Amino acid sequence: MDVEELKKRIEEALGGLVKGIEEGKGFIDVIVDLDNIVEAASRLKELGFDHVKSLTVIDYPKENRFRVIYHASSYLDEELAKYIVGIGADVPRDNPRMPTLVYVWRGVEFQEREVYEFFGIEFTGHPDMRPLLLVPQLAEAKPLRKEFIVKEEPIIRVKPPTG
Amino acid sequence: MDVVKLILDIIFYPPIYQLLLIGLVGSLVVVIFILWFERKATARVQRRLGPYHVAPRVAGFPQLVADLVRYAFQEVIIPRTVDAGIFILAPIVATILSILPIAVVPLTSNPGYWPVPMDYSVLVALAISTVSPIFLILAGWASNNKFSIIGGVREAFVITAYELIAILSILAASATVLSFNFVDVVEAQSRIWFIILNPLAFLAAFLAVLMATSGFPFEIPESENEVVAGPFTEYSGLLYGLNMGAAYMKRFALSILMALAFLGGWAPYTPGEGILSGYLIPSIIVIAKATVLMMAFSFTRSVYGRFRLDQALDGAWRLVFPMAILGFGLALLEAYLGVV
Amino acid sequence: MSGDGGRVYVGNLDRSAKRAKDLVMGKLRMGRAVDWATAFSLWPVHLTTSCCGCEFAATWSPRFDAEQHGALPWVGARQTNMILIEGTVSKKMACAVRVTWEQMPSPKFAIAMGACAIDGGIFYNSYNIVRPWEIIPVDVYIPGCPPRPEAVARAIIELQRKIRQKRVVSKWIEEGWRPDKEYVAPKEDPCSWWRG
Repeated sequence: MDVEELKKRIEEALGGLVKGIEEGKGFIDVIVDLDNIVEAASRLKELGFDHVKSLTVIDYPKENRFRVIYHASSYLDEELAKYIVGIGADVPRDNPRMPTLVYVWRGVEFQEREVYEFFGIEFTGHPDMRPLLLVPQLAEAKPLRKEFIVKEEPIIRVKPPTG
Repeated sequence: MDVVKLILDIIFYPPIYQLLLIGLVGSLVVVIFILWFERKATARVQRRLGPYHVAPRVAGFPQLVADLVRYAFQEVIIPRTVDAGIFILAPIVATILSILPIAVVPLTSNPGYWPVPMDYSVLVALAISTVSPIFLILAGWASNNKFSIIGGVREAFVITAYELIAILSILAASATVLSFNFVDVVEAQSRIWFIILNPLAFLAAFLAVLMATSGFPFEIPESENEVVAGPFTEYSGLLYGLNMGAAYMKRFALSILMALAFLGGWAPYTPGEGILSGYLIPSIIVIAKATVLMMAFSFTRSVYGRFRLDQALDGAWRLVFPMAILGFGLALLEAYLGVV
Repeated sequence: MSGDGGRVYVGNLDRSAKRAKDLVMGKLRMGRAVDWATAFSLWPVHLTTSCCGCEFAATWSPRFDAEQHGALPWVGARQTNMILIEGTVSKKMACAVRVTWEQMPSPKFAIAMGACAIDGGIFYNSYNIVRPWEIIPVDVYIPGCPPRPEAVARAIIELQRKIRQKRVVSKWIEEGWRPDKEYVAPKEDPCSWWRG
């Protein structure tokens, strides 16, 4: 099965949900509408993509949107296991909410918590929406958004107390 | 002057001076040696050097002295949530009870130097040796910490498994000679030791003492990667040193009982008159045999992994307990045939 | 003696402790012995904050064997007297470091290991790290990313030399606080996120 065939199968499975397919070097990103993402994800799962390898978010402050992409692949289907397919949606920046995919792929629970603390995107319906790695005060600042500015420290510091 | 005379009377009361001389001084020296041996043997098995730089000329022998002094001068933390009275008393009482069996054990056949002249020294010594684990359970309970409580409960499980085995297998020796007196038991071994006549009982006693003192394959109550330090998790400074010392002192006391019951006690030597020939030399022979036993116990630390609790209990009840009963039956058979 | 809500009544404990201290440190001159004993019995506590923990493990492994200096890694914080900060300390881990430090009994020492523990290392300018010297008083720093096990052993030897030359422990016991180093209190509570 080559890439063209995979693309055709995914388009058949998803039907009219597909808004656009972005193709890069060695990967395919399927972009759908935000309202359809749960439906599209469950159809992808029926096709054989049984787990999510990673969950990534890109911040586009000028276009006022986040792009959230779930990278799905397969363990059980040998043909599909060669490919990683991204399924993503655009989330508006002023109202960062999207439906959770925990009930489609169980494994994304912690990754969605991580996205929540770093970007502030709330996943509606998530069973445990708390910060995962950061302390809560820091999670409120949403450190991976582009408007978060790290306090620059000077290169030459005061010498630490020597014993 | 009366006070001095009273103190001297107390010190030279036979069970007391045996407890002070053999119990405290002897066990301290032996425990320092054994702990050094344990760390050094473990290091050698793992191709390391072990404690060395504290005193390079004697291969790091004072390492345990350094550890003891450091523990003695460290802060003793008593957390606000513990039951302070029991928390402080439990390790002290456990340490005292651990070496108390030595106060009733005769270490010579010269009647002038018996601590307590009686015919039931085997029974009394075994009975005293079974009291101290209760205080370890109490220490765990008073610490008010989940790891301590789990460790205490594990200790309770292990007690129920090993106590019967230890008593049965050491009593096998007295069943052979039809007497509860250690002097009779030892004098019957002047020709042939009971370790050869009754190896089943010796093996059962060996395993039971390992379990009793948290020797390595059975170091279940304070297994550090499951429950932090078992019943001693909250202990610090001198109290922790006492807790650790209590296990080794109990091992020393039980090793002396085993040396008397199976390894012939003062056997090649016949005690004579006078304090040197009548008391000190036989005692040193017994302690040397007990030290050899303790070295065997310590060596298991470096070569075995740890059993799980259920595996240890299963082995104790299914394997070691029948072995102890068989050993007891063998002892009765030998008594019937009149081997000794 | 009776226990009641964490209090033990054994007479005037402060006065007895002071008399015992005067006897042992003054008349019996145990000071040097205590310094010697503590220097050769620095037991580090197992608290792996970051990736330098691998080098910590290698230091006590057969090839390098830091146990020959008398240091033995131990499980519980209550029984140890040294803490090795291994690399980066994130804001959540700072709470664990401080809690472990406060659980250790008093003559206690700290070694900070790795570039991250000195000044941030590759995490310089990050929003999520804490410098160890902001939360606990550090005695010896080990540079390197990560330091070699020999460097860790060298740090232990340096700490031993410092304890024995400056007589840190005996003065600590005599005066009741550490004379040669200021007490480091964290500016903000590292556990505030946890206590709520």
